[in-house]
Amino acid sequence: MTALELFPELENPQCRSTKPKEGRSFTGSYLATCNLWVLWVSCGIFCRFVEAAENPQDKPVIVWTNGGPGCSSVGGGLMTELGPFFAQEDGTLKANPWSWNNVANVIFVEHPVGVGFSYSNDTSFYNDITDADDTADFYTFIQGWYARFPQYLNNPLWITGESYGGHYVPHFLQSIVQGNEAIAAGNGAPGAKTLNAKGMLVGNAWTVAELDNAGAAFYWWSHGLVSDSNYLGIFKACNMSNVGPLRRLSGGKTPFMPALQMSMAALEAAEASGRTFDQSCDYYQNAAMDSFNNVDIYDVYADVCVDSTGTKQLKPQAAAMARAAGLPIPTSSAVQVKAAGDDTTGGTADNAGGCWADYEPCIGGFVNTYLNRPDVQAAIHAKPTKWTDCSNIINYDRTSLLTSMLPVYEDLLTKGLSLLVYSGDVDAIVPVTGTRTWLDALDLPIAEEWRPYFVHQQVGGFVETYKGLTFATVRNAGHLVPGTQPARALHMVKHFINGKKL
Amino acid sequence: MKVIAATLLAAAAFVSADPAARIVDLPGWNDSSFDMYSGYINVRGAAQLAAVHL
Repeated sequence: MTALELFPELENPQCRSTKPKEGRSFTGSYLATCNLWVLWVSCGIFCRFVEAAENPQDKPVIVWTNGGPGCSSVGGGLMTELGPFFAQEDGTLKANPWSWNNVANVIFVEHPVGVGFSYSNDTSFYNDITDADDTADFYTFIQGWYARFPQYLNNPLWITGESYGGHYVPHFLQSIVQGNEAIAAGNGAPGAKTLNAKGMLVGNAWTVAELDNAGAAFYWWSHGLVSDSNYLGIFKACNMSNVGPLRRLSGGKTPFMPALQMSMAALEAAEASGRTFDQSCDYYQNAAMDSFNNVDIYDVYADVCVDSTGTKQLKPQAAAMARAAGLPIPTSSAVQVKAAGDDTTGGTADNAGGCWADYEPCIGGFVNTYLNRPDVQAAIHAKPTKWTDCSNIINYDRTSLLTSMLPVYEDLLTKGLSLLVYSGDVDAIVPVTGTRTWLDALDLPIAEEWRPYFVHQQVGGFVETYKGLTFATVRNAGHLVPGTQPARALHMVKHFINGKKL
Repeated sequence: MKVIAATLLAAAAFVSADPAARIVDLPGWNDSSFDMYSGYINVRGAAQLAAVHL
């Protein structure tokens, strides 16, 4: 039974369209959105739902999550990547012609509890959050969402995200599949509905620590960002399965796991010639960061954000995974990006090949200002909050962070789902080289050979289809693919969720 | 202010009152060609509902 069933007055249109009164406080927790009825919850997941621009009743439903772990999907995905508008410096919102709500109904979910506007009255929930904890909360959340919007129960459902979404997205999809199976077996959660999950799309996905890390080091070397000695030193000194991702660090790490045979062979050859690599992993990682200190690790060919004082801004996501891994937070990383040399002007959705010329590399600051405005928080029915893009109050479980996701993929591959792994090819934090390595480890037969795909006469990227899984690169896209190559990203999602070839 | 509260027990599965109320008058945005909603969904423990007489 839902609260709407218990209290049908909540459906009162006057109630739904009335903002909370400012200055009114209630003991407990969050207040909902009407004058007469107030709901407070003990542990709330906040979401923004954007209906499709046309015929929403006929469009799929997409759940989007950012990564971190601990970064906001409202501040990130909605307001800087794939939502219908982006924040501007003057406090207004600017339309995004490549919004994903051109092709789907999109839910942006703030999770785990403690991230963005989501919260818990019991702050112990912020400690040692595991993938399993977060996944259980997600399943409850998505069932609650469908209880509110049952008209979408039969529409195809897709789970999407990026970065640490490499854990979130497969886990969330698996929870829905398992929930459906439990319902079919007669032992589903009370009140749970069967959901029409079709598959997932996940980009620059943190998946297998040792392979993603080794891929990152290889990417840095192959893109001319670090020296030979620095690269080989990383492979010699770092335990790739125990850090994540590689970044500026202090504190020692030890043995080396050979993820890329080419790198190992190069290291052995160098040592055979008499060269030594006897510094610590921290030393080599910090040396790498020093080497490309002024390059955005999230988009190596993009401009970095320099604020009005001439100071580079730390990208919020840069700190999140280091914090989750219990590692020192990097102090010098670039922020938001702009595709280098691409001044294509904006056009209609899916009608331009390059990056949005008006993309603002410092947009993160604008979003922070906007979402902390009391009038904005009231309008979006959020609990008054000191909103931050990436949470500094949650403590994510390190074991979860370092656990391989390949067993989850192996399970999902047996369920008849459509899986798309995509990779912005100028990201250096969870780069395409690592992704291709762990895809290789899945050892899937090729169903369609590697080929380019085109977005308005230009190569949008390359695609290879395996049995049960499609892999696509997005050319000249950084870690935040929909934000750095919005037209190519929209092309990709539109085609994939509609069962068409890229 | 008189408050009458009713507790929705955990047995009331997937409490979902007002998880996503429609957004109106979003500052800086005047496109009404599609609807947007936002709000909270309780995911652990009991949620409470109160009638507030103003």
